[in-house]
Amino acid sequence: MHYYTLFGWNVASEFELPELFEGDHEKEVEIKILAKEVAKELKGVKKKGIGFQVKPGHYQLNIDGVARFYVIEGREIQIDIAPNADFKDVKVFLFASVLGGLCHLRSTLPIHASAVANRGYSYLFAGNSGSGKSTLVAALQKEGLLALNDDLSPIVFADDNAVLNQGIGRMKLWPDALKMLGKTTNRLYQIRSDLEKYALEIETAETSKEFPVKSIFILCPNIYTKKLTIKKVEGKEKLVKLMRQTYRSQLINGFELEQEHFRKCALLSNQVDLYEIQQPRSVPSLNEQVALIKKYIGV
Amino acid sequence: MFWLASYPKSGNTWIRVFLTNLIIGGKGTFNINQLMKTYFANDNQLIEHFTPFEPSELTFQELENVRKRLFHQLPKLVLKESCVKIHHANQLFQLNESLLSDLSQKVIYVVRNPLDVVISLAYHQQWSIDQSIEFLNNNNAIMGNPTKLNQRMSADFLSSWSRHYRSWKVGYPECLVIRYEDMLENEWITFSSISKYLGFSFTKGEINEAIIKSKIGLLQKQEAKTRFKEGSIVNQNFFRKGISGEWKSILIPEQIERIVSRHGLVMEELNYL
Repeated sequence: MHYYTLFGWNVASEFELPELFEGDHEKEVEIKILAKEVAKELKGVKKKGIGFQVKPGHYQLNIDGVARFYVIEGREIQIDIAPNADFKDVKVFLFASVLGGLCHLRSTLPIHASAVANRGYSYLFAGNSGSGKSTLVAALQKEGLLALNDDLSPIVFADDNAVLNQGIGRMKLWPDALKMLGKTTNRLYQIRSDLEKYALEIETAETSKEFPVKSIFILCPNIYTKKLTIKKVEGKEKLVKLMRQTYRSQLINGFELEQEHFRKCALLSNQVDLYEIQQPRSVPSLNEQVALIKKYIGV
Repeated sequence: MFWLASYPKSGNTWIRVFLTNLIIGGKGTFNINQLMKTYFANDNQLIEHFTPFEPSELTFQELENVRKRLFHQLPKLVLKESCVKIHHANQLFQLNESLLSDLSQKVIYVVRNPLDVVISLAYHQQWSIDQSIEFLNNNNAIMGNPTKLNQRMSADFLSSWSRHYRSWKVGYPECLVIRYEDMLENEWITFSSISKYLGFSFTKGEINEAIIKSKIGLLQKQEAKTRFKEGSIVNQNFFRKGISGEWKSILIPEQIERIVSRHGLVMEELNYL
């Protein structure tokens, strides 16, 4: 077995997963990752979508030619790898959709966001695919901030207080983003053999700390704007916009977690500041964003 | 929900303008940036919203398979009164398999003379005419970069102009084929056939009114005042000329020959020759 820490949970895995932070094998295991045969169909399924099947407490993801993943009660992930599959591909789905489902089942509120920490608080950068979440966090890491998560940030409610832990020790970036950061693809590995997306290490491990969530910034690429703008979201809009940032929200009703999800979003909405950033697409925009964020988070 | 399929720059936006005017009727003022609810088949947000996948982490082949499954279910997932605009060929990349095979769906396929398409495409993409012809003739043509899927809109497999047409005409025999040129020359018959195919029961007067409100001149006037959000970010005008036969004064004989020798059979079938 290999022992890791993931979003503050103790993980024992039959697979070697060097992207995760090292864990303590003496601590009680909260999540097991096992190599096991997974049937094609989940029994008693409540919701079936493209590639996934869900019922309360259970989640299955089938990726042809890669693997079948089965998540049980948020405490076990079974992986049935397809013949000749590249393990890199398996990890791409494991660290994204599979963990996303697991986070819902472990009573967190997974946000589609990358995150950094500053002075003990966490700050999340949410947005759709391609909005530049990872690039911004990598740029903030370069400025000396602690990068916490990339793409998936599961918020835990400790006594109803929203906190965030560090998760996976890598960010995923495209070559143009690396170029903007003054980095080359040399010595970085591609996350999938057929994809020009590279893994960049999260430099500092602070896996034992919990970071109360202070602010969430929604990144909105806007090709029609030439100016970077930021607006605080308040009132009724705030909860609606926060709910939309949920990671893999299409699984929620299959898990019968709608009410719980609403409750967590409302709790979060009462505790954090929410901002919307309209971003023009250019290199100065990234530098400007970094400066703007540093101002807002008090660096 | 219906599908509006076409090779790029073939006039499908115009059909959406007409339908918007038809639906609004005398009730409201038409605005080019408030067309009828339209989903774009290559919008990665469709995948993000309706599947558990991160589109930018799928290979192009995986993306193609996810789209095929998603498109099959789309009528159940999107608004009932909407259209889905698609430029993808009705064929999966490098596979002899249809993208849309559920024949119960409504599909309007808009086709335009390739001699005019090359000019419009060159303008829109900032290509030379020769680059545009090369693209139209390429059986493996993909619009966008299939190994870099971090854009909001992902790459579309188009194949060549002829194969694109056949993939829909033959691969989806229930589709209604509309020639762009007929929208100009036989507007009433053409737009009525669209209304009828979609099961609408608008009167002759209502259809005529929508046609008048959808004239290219009016669209150009609006675009001169306000940017058309679906237009290219490079060019100023999306609604360019709205004419057919521009090729006669722009293409040189050698360029015409390259297109006709490659697409002559389909062009004959569509009375372009």
